[in-house]
Amino acid sequence: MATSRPFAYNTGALISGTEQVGDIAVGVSSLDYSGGVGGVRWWNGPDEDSGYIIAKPIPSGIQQNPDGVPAFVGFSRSLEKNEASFLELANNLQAGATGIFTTGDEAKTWLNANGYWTSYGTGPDPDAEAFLLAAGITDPTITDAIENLVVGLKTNNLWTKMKAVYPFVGGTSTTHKWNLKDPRDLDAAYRLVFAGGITHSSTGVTPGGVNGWANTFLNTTALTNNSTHIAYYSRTTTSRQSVEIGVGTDFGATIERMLYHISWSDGNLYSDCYNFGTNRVVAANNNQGSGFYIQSRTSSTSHKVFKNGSQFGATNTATSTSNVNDINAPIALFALWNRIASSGSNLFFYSARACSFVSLGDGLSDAESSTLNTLVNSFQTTLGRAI
Amino acid sequence: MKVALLTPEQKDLLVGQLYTADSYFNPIRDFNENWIISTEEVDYCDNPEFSWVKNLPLIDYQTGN
Repeated sequence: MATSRPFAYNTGALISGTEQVGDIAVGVSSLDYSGGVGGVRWWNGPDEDSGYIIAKPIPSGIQQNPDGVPAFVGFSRSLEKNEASFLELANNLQAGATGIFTTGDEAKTWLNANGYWTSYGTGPDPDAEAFLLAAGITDPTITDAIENLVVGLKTNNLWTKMKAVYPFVGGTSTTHKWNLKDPRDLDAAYRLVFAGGITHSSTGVTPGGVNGWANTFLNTTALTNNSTHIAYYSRTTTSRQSVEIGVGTDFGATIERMLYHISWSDGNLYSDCYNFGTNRVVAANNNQGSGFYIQSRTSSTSHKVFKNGSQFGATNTATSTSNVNDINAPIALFALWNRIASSGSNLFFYSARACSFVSLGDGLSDAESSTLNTLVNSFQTTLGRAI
Repeated sequence: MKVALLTPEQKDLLVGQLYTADSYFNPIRDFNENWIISTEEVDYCDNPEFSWVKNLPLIDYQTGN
């Protein structure tokens, strides 16, 4: 059933059971608005499921309507129900009356101050909602967890640092493939493609360790040089020769990689970003391989690893002479994608490490890594799958 | 760990094919150069076109490590 609500043009006092923005009254209570609540004519607004609504006053009363009577409220709707589409609508509406809006909240504030009502910001976060819609998820616990995660990332200025976020909710390959940042079913949206032996469950993704992996289609060239992070929520405590997130190039003068061995067969954690070896972080004795790991490079001389919010191993300060454009290959999950020639590649070191969250994006400071850890652990706790 | 043994011809049939929603077969070579797929692909395969994978012989997975 479509979502809509009643509106009226009201230049008088606030009508009981309604909200008022400028001269627009909005029905919020379960009243019979067809009976002329408050002595004004009520109109049912447009469907709000497919886009964000802006209700605007038409003081001249010339708004077209099926009844052919004077009508004083008009409506616009964004083409899509997301912040970008809402901004396009709001910016077109204000047509240079003020500066260009860059956030939905900024646009909403201006609209309300100028007598327009909007459905933007009245419901779930649009990006959370778009993800849940794409994944076909309606479970209230998952919905709340995703909503809180997205709002938390935005509130803490981490959302824009993310290129891809894979929360692995819903329990199937079909629900796990979606990128929370861009839930379109496209390679360009970094939607995952799974291959090989992988088990999907309510706790996330468990690669089988033989040939299971996922292609993010996120080429390293899409990352910001000397500002990159990769994060992995591991549920598995064993050590083995495997790569949890990996991409590299093994031809030419230098081996360049961006990868995690969370707990190699010797029990150590190895993190490469970007020169293999030279820029490596090693954290010994990580036999307890479960935890939330963040690899972050924030400059050419700072590469760190965080485990459960605290720095793990020493900072690698060796100057990185390579960059993301040198690797120029898509990041793989649960294996290492190794570019072995200008047009060839191969996959190595398939992981068997169960995973409940992955993020890829810009480098994170110590404080930001700690915040991300808090948000992700809260997310897992809400879902009843914190380790 | 067990894996399912493929002939080269069977491998060619599986490349680029889905074994279940949003999950592709990924035949690889083991240490002895056999073409194999995982038991997950066998067990989770619900694509009727490839139900024959459920009858593949199982061998020990050799990685050379």
